[in-house]
Amino acid sequence: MIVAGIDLGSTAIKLALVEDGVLLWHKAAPTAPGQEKIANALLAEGLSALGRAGEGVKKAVTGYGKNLMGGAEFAIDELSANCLGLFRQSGGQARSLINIGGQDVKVIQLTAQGAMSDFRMNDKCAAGCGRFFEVAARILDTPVEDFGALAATVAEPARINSTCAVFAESEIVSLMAEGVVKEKIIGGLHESVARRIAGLCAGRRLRDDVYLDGGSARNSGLLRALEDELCRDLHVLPLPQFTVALGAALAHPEA
Amino acid sequence: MNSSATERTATPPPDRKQRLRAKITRETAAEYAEAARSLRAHPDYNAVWDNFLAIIEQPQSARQIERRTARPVVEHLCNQAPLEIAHALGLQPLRLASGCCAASRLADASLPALMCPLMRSTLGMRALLAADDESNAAATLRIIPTTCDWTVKFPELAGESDKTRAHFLELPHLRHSERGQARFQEELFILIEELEKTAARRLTRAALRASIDLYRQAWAVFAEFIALRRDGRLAAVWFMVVCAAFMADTVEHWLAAAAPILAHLQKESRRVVGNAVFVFLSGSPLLFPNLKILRLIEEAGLYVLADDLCASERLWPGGLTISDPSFSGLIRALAGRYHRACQCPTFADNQRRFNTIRASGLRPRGIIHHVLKGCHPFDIESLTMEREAAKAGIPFIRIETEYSPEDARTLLTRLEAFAHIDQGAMK
Amino acid sequence: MMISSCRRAVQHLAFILFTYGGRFGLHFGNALPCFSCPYVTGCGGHCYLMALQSNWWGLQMPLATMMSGLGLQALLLFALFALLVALLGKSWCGWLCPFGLLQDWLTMLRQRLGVPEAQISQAMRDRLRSIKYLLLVYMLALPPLIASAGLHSDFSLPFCQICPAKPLMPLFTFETAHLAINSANAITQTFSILSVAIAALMLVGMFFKERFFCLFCPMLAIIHIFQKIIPLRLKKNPALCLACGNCARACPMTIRRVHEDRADVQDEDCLLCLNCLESCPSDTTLRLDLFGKTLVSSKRRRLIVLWQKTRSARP
Repeated sequence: MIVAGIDLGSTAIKLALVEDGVLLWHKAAPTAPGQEKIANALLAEGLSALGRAGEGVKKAVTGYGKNLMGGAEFAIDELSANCLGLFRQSGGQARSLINIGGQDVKVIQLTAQGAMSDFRMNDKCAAGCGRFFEVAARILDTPVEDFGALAATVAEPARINSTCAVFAESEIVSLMAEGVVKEKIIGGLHESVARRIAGLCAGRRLRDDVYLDGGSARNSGLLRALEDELCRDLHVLPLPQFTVALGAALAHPEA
Repeated sequence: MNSSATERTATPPPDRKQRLRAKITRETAAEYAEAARSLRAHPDYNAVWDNFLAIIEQPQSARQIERRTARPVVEHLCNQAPLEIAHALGLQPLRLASGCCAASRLADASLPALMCPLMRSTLGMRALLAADDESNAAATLRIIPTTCDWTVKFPELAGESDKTRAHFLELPHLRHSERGQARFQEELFILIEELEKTAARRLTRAALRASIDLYRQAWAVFAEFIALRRDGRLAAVWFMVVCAAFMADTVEHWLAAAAPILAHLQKESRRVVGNAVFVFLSGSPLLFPNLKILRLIEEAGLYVLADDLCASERLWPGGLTISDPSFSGLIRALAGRYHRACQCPTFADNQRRFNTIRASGLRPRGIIHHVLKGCHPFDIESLTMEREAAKAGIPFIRIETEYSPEDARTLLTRLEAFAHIDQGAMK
Repeated sequence: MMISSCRRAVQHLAFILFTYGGRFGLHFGNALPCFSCPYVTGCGGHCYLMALQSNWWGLQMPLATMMSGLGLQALLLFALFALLVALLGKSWCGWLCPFGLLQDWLTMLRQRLGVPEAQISQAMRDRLRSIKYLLLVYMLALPPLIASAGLHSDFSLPFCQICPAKPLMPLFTFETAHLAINSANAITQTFSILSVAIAALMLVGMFFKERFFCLFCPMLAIIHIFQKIIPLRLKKNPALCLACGNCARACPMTIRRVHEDRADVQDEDCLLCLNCLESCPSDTTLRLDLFGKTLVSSKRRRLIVLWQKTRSARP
């Protein structure tokens, strides 16, 4: 039986199809009104890609929108799903994880058995999360996917004080007006977000191994900045955006 | 005024201020109605609860309460002034604390941006209700124990429109020292003088003794509600209703209203479903009609086993034993009870509060510490609380919030995750 | 039945047995760890303090006598006393001592009259603690001096000479002889004046302050010395304490320790009257243990019943 892990996030909807604990297929789509429809379309697409269209599946939902999904017999909170997904993917190595989502940042501690032992989240303000980079990308007219490579080209990034998407906009604009190159600004954005996330980790006594996941984990520039700020190595797994969806599927009693 | 406006409306438009006030009045009424509606839709609702809901489902001004109870109202901020004294003088003690989000908007313009939401709402509600009173004076006397800065500055924040006389009950911030206790006792004698003036009569030993007996009886009933809660049979929202009704009515009426509810609960109430996680709730007070946190707690699969909130289980210190029935003996007993038993974080020596939770025989599976943004005393204590919780191996979560419902979803995520924290890992 | 009414009943029964028992042929021996005063004619047993100071069973025994069989008898009497102490501990003070009940009567009278209780500051309270040990030293030191250092024999029974029970308790059998001044010599005169003066002072003190004499009682000091081997103990589970302070308020000895955040709350001055336990509104917070097994513990519902019984009984 295929289990579909559906993570209805604030910026993206992620689907992971799992059978016997193995990830078969995954795909993400941007969040938009009609989340249930989008999720079901993803599911249909996945099943036909696997050549098993029309087959019955078990659904496990998680994320902010989990209550919007009708017809799912199993729901789990995203922190627990995140723990499970990451712990399995890391082969039981993960003891701490930092998840940078669209609207929030989570710092979670895991036990040796993979259970969540402690966590901290940012306040209701979404400063410094995935959405922040999307706004910056729009202003800089540069796709987020290129941020890592661009930031790697400069040694001295610009200083950016705000992690608020609204205030950073004017800061970026004035830096651009001063003639600061895009690469330096991007480097500065990574550093300011890393500072904020490190503040959230303070006192959390991060234990090795620490993993970074969530969509923004694909940004190698942010990863480097965060490693420098935390003074430790962070691991990023191949599909950081899908950890939570995978965890939800694995948490399903029939998975 | 431009001519097109006059053409649009036959009558001149009401003053903008009045329009805003009318809007906030509507929103306030809607907030109360929604709270009452959600309670009536709660699976544990029973018609007997209407006894209490009828008391609290509308905001009431001191005047209205005065008319209903036929007793002059004395407003109490916080809970360190003995209710028995006011009661024995024929006055109606009214706890001045609002949980209404909409009402706080009326006070917004004149207040600091970062401010205790409880005080903001209380000020807003005061301004809202005062306008409905012909006399524009809500109560003749307001007792203000010198707890936190927001409380002490209440008259200043209320501004010149506020005509209620303030009496400061100076609170010694050390309870376990003898001199602190002696000073508090002196304060009570001064308070009695003030209340005697308001009531225009003398406080007699017999009347005080009778009031003490009556509040003891009330505590006996209150303790039964607590016992039901410990037994997993009284959801936090309902416990809030019990407390809110107590704060808004005479003790006699509360007792009469409570009896059938208690009888119903003791006979019929079901235990909370087996997999609910039992937690201890601490921190800033939660007040009706703000059910947000309690509903989220319930939605996340948590059950509040006990709390130490000053508007909930610690609402008033309850019945007291008297070893010296002389007048000064009664006052001494009241002083001891209201001062020493109080767990307000504005006290310097509050270690006991942590010990109670940490070593609690209740064995909660988690501690939720609720901090109202701008409430510094409870914010400071959250650090100690977290440390003590870690020592005891009890998972701890700090929830910082305001009255506004905007953060409900993110809080729910946190509470749901909290319900799944691994217990064994803490040890 | 409430603990306090049980205690009152036991106290009164003990009072009758100890004060008048001899008249019905009842005698509970000479090693009683309470103030069952031997000066009461026809009493039902003797306070051990008399035997302890005496020349026939106690410290005033000459060395030669001590070496004879009588010394062994004295030792056996002490052993009996120790056994009685170990058996009931401070309950002797709170539940059985007739002089204690006399004090309680005065307190009841004061309460009925609505006279406020005199307040003693905690600092003063701590200073007074040592007096009972000084009295104990006085009581133990003088008899051997009479026996072997030539101190005048009118110094014998030095504590009884000044004990307020000696003039007061015989009043219950209408004996006023011990109120008289004995002018035989300077020693007896001083002692008898002192005795009456102390008795008068204590009467006033006991009226205004509950169990005033117990603050100074050397018997209480002796029982406390045995405390380590007494299996009857007052314990507290501080985790369940609501910090209401009822316990400290209900304590006749104004002991604050019972209100503190600790498990071991039995103070040296504790009388085991259990007022604290009865007035505690939190289930199983305070308890009385015998060999670690709980005999009785605090109970909210019991307290509420007690409140209902005493409700405005007297304003």
